[in-house]
Amino acid sequence: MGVFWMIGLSALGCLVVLFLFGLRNERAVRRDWELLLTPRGEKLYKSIEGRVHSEMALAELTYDEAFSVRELGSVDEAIHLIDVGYRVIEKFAPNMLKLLAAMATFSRMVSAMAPVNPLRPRDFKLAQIVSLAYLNGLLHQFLVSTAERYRLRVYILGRSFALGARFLMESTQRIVRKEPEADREWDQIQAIRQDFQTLTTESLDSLKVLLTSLAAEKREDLLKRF
Amino acid sequence: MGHMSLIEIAVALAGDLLILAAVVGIVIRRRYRICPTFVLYLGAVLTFDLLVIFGPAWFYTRMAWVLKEVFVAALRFGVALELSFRTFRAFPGARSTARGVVLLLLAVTFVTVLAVTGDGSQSTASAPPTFELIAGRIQPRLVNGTIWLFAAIAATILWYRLPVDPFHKAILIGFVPYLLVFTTGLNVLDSYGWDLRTLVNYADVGAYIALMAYWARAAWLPAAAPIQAPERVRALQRLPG
Repeated sequence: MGVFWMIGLSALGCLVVLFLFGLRNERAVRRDWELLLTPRGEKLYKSIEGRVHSEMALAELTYDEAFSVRELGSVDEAIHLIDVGYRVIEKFAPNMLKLLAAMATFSRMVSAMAPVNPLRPRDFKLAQIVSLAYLNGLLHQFLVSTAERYRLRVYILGRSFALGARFLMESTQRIVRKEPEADREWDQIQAIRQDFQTLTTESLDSLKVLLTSLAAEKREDLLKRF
Repeated sequence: MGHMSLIEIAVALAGDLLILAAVVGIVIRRRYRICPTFVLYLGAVLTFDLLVIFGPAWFYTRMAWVLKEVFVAALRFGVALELSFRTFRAFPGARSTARGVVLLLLAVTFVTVLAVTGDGSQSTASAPPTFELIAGRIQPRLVNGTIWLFAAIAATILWYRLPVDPFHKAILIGFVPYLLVFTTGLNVLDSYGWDLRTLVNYADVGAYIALMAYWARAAWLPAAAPIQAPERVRALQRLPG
């Protein structure tokens, strides 16, 4: 019966792998590689960097305005601006998550990844994101290859973005509903803003590391395959 | 053994025609350059099948079957190793992982084959104990090792998101389900006795014909068109904005 168990487990594992392999879109994979191996890819990633900066600047501007208006006493106007700022982040965060996911995928396609440092807990304000940064530092020591460390960093950045966006939504909703202890929510939003800024900078640093690693690829050798 | 029924001959010829169709497709589409070991494998299977049909007294025997299976198993390993080499050679990161995985699986397969006790308890007067030992114990372990090897190659390709030739993909996808049916059949025979061989044979032949038809189709498919519409590029450009 032992052999049948072995066959059963083999069959299950192998069929799952083959099912995923069969479903894979080969044209999409080839396009990704084409993107990776041509100057167009580098240009694209550099343009992404520019757009991430401008999106974040727009959110910052809106939040700065909201805080200034609130200090001047126009609470309703400040609440409206906070809501607008949240809408900007609401669009920005999923895009960052998609970008980080694409970076993690591309990191597997690069043969040698440049080294990265783990996130520093002292750079963050929100306790949950600080914990994730500590976790990043801890797991970083257990991983051997630079590619694994890179993917861990990107994963922690993604989780932090998702966490920050959730807390921002909750705080914004409490302020919009004019719940008691709104001051605490304003402080929380301020902390999340700073964390978002740090996370964006760290994400762009990770993007630069990916670009540096791409530049070191032996593209000519790979291009011959396509 | 030594005599084939009409149905057995018809089924064997159908399988051979499909192999022939696959080989002709491979030659016409010039796919032999990307998988020479696979062409050798198909050639070996076809040659043995034809020898069995036209010289059953010599080749429709248990010992001939064992010899053929050992030879074909070696060629299957060769196909897996060639696929692995051709897929990973340009990607150093994936190559080092694949090398480790392939060596590990070869070692595990070797150990499982060595671990066979081989008491030959089901031997009969007409069949030497070595036949049951090889067909019922050693062969399933070899086939199981090959299945793991093909699945590991597929998993590594998935993990590193490597590009793979559609025909290489067809070889990988085709081998595993057929070998699973084959190894399950051999284990059923070993565990429940060789009286079930007709039933097992039907399942094996069905899977074999389906596999050959799949490969014949894959061999005749035109080569993949070059990438033109950069949809992925546009999708990535839309990411942050």
